[in-house]
Amino acid sequence: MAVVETIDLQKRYGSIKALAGVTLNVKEGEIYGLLGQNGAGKTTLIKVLLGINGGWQGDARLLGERAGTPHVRSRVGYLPEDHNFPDYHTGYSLLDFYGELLGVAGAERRKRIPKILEQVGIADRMHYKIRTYSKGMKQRVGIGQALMHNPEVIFLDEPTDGVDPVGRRDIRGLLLDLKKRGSTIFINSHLLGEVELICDRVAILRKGTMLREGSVAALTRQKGRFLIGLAPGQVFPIAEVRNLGYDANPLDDRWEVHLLEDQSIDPVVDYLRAQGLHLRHLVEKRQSLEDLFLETHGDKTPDRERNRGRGEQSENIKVLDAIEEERRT
Amino acid sequence: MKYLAILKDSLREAWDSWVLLGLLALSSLVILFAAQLSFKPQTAEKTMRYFFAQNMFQQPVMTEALNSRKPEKILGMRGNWSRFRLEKVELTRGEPDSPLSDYALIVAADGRGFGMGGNFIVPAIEVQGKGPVEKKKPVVDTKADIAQLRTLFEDAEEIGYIKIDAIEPIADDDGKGVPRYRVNLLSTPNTYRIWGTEPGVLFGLFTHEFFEIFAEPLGWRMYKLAQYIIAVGSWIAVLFGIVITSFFIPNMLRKGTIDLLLVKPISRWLLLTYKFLGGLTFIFLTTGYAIGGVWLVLGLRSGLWANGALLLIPSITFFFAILYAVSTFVGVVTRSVVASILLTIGAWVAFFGIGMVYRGIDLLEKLEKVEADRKEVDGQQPKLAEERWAGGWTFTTIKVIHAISPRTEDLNQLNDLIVYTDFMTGNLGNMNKFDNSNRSWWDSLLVSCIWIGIFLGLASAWFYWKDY
Ligand SMILES: Nc1ncnc2c1ncn2[C@@H]1O[C@H](COP(=O)(O)OP(=O)(O)OP(=O)(O)O)[C@@H](O)[C@H]1O
Ligand SMILES: [Mg+2]
Repeated sequence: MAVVETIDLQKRYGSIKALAGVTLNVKEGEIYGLLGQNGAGKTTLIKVLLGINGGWQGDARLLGERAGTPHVRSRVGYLPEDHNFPDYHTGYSLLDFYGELLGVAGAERRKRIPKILEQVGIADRMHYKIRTYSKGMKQRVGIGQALMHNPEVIFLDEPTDGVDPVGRRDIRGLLLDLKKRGSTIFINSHLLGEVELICDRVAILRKGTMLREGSVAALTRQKGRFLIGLAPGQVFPIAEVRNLGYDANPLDDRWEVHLLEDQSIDPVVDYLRAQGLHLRHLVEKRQSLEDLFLETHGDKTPDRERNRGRGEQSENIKVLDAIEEERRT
Repeated sequence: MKYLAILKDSLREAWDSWVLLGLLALSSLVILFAAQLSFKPQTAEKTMRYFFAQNMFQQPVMTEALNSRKPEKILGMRGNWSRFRLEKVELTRGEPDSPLSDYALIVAADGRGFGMGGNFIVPAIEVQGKGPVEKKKPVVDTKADIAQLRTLFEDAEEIGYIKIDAIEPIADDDGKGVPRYRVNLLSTPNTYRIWGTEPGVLFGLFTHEFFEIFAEPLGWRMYKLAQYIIAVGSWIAVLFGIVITSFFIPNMLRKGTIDLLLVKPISRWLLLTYKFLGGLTFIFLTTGYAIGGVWLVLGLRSGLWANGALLLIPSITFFFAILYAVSTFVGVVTRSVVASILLTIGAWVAFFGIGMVYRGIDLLEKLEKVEADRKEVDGQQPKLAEERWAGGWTFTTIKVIHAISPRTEDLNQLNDLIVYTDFMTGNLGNMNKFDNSNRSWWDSLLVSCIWIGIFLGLASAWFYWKDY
């Protein structure tokens, strides 16, 4: 079943066309990332789905019901961007207030709230006023309140905004946990690296229209580009490979081979082996999501040269996390 | 309960801003002030004096007290109240100085007459002073005197504070020709309500003759006290209430806050209505605390339990509801606290002004009628239609404006009537006896309810269509 389904969804604010016919489809149990520049209409899309903004055309359905009705809202969790929680509440009382509005029973709330706040990592401060919280702590309360009633689908608008690297990793872990338990998650984000790490599928929105939609793997795969690395000291026979009819170029200390139509990489590998060279690295090159993003937005000079693909970038994040981890212990 | 959730949230917000605490502290001060007052019954002699004028310019305190809701009756009063002077009070049955006893008053008719026309009797004493007294003893019209004297007690008898047993002339014993009368009064279970009472401060520990100037018949004294407390208290309460509640709506509508409420499974108009009711409940509770507290301590201190005055709690809440509806509407449209406060206070002043002007013309009309009636009795020419205020287009316009605008001032009048009736008689069933305004309170409530509906409806509609 499609959890979120829009067909030719349009929304105007006066003369501004925020959504100009968006068609998308989010399946049950997946993490879906919506990307787009500032003002692309990402937030507008969520607000339309949740009934915060009305007056739209087209079709929008949530969990099989018409989007925006009070009933369907009781089944979704939402973290808005730029949230502004009433700061006279404590973390605990805020969740209690929202929980009551959501119809969660009193006993259930008393049981759930400490657990949720533990999960998002602010249990020790839950009885302090929100005005004493740091930005990241507020963000964590925000994620907590979106989980208050065990929603079937969770909308997160910039969930890791203002959160430190360790916190970001924790949140990623939390989202993957939720996914395991069957929740569907819809994320708006600018942090492409993050989206790449956890989203099953992404869509790119631009000026209210959908540019691309698909799985992260499919979107970032670059057909026919292979990156080859040899054992230290060995030199890639560039001229010979070119003679075989391939387009080969050095890239830092590795070599990139570009297949033309109908070509396969196997003859190149066979040739290198035959030459007695030791293959240490062979990978079909992928574009980073960022490259893809910049490319779809008309910026034709992504700094691809510095990037060796997706793996590298996520590694960077892992390194950062490790540094943070070390610092903490 | 979603309503309770929003109520709790509003209370938390008000508590957080300290204004609520300030309001509660002020209420506590008022309650404390009322609690330290003491009320000491006066003697029968002093009590009976309230039926008589102290000088020729002022009507008797009792007349003023019993007709305070009919100013035109006092202003247009035909009579000669300062002719009579209380000479002596005799106990005829029961304990001395008790409101449960019966008394006889010995009254001398030697005062100076100073009535507003008609019924003028040459006072005996004046003729005496001029010398040729013996020659021309004034004619004393005993029957007229007795009728006149009766009017001093009639109002009290009518409400049931006393019974006039008999009024009879007594033999002239000093030979100076001053007519004397004996008034036999019987007590009723309600006599204590008009018994002279002298207030004291600091739990009665501190007494001083000075406080006697505040002595008055109990019910009247309590009514005036309550009137001051309510007049000052409700202004402060409403002002505080406006300030506190004007934060509710704009704060709720802040970007990043409203989204979180709108995604909850509750429709927008219900959300707004709950928020409105939450604010009202909040005012209801604080008013309840203040009025309930004052009612309790005044009851304990004076023995006069004005249970009906507790009606002021819903009444002031309703008064506030009218203003809060304005504030909600302004808040939803402008999302500005300052605009809400200013426009709501502006509306308050405007409604107050309309009410005051209406009250003024109402009194003018009554006075004109009293005057016309007197002219008719005296056989004089009535005023020409074009000289009269009543019936002119100015008055008609004001009446129409008053009729269709929110009736906050009517509610003030109603509160006054409630408090007066209750302190004076202990029975709100008597309300229409004291109500000489020719308006229907139900109309006032209805028109005000309609206005609340209009403001809330407009606010809901705006809130409903808006993108956040
Ligand atoms: N309430 C509103 N009234 C008028 N215009 C609006 C409103 N909300 C959004 N817009 C306009 O709609 C367009 C889309 O805005 P939206 O907030 O959906 O963008 P976004 O993709 O979420 O951007 P960002 O990444 O900066 O959060 C923008 O041009 C914005 O100016
Ligand atoms: Mg946005």
